[in-house]
Amino acid sequence: MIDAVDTDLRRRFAPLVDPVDDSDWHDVCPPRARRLRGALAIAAVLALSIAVTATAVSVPHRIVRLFGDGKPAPPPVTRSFTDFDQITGIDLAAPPRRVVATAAASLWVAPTKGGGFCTLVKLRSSEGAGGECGPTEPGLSVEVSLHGPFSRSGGVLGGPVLLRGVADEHGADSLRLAFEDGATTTIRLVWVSEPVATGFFLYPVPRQHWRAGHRPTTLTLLSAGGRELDTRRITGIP
Amino acid sequence: MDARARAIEELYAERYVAFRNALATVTGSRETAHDAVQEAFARALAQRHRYRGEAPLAAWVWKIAFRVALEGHRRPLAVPLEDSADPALLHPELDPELDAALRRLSPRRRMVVFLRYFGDFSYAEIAAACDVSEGTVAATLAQAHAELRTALTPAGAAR
Repeated sequence: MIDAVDTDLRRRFAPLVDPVDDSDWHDVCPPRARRLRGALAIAAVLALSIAVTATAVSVPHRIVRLFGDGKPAPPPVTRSFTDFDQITGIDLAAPPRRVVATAAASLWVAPTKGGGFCTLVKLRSSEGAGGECGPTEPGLSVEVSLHGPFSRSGGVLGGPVLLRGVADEHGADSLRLAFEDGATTTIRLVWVSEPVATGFFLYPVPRQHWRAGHRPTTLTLLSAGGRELDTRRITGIP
Repeated sequence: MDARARAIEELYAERYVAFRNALATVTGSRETAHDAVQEAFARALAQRHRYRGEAPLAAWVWKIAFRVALEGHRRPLAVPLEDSADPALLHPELDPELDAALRRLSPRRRMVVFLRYFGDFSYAEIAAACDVSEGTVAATLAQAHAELRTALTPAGAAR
């Protein structure tokens, strides 16, 4: 009985949950931000991208992560990457590291010897994971993945619903997601240093935006100054 | 970065929005809740050597956040912290029936409900955050569920 009431109340509270993510770790931890910039300066001496270093200082929105500073993968994630390796024949150049963590899922990345990278999304609620390897398109690329049931007549019945993708654009800073009902939200871009040198994002679409009339419509890649760098239409949510 | 600092950063990445939403029921706005959560995590980082790992990290940081939120309200602390808050829905107009039902709960019971449904806290986390046993949390939620089930109509629940 408690579980049933618990489920009912979760459903009842869901529309009241404010999905806006205005988190800012660098505001919490300015000493670490200074240290990160210092590390980037050193990394630049070691031939890391100068563009990454320059924008890391001036851009307030995007997060810059040194690849090697990411959380090492637990055994299930490592096994999934090993499976990639065997199935695709693509050799990994370094063990996977976590680059984005959300309440619903986390995104893991491993560079490949060919110069690209493999990504894997691991759900928090299960052992389920999915990923891919290969070169990315220039600019912005985005995928929608549904991890719960959905109705044959249309409509998502359970989540999570994830938007994930990459931004292969050095000036990229953040993403703006627009919804059918006119609402917008900002998605943080996590720029990962060499050997990956690419921006990543992972966004669990809030429950109130699963329904027709409220679903995501377009994702726009923005520079630090707010200039639109690239745009993709979002499709795939029934 | 040491392991404890990394764990705090991970907690922030995974739970920031939930913390802010739960705390907004105490502070009364998203903006003040944001400020309180930011300050709480900054304090947690600075004082991380004091975290002994006996309680879930989320509960330890929540207690700091809760104290920061009440400091912001400048409430007298002559009464126990957990009894000095009167949490409420931020936008009662979105579900007036739920708001009315919640207002009939005691503030302490309401806080436990908000921790559960806005903060996404487990029973163990709520227990540590409120300095009670998990059994007490289960009993408190069961009583709150019973009161809410009586007050809420099925039509409203199905909205």
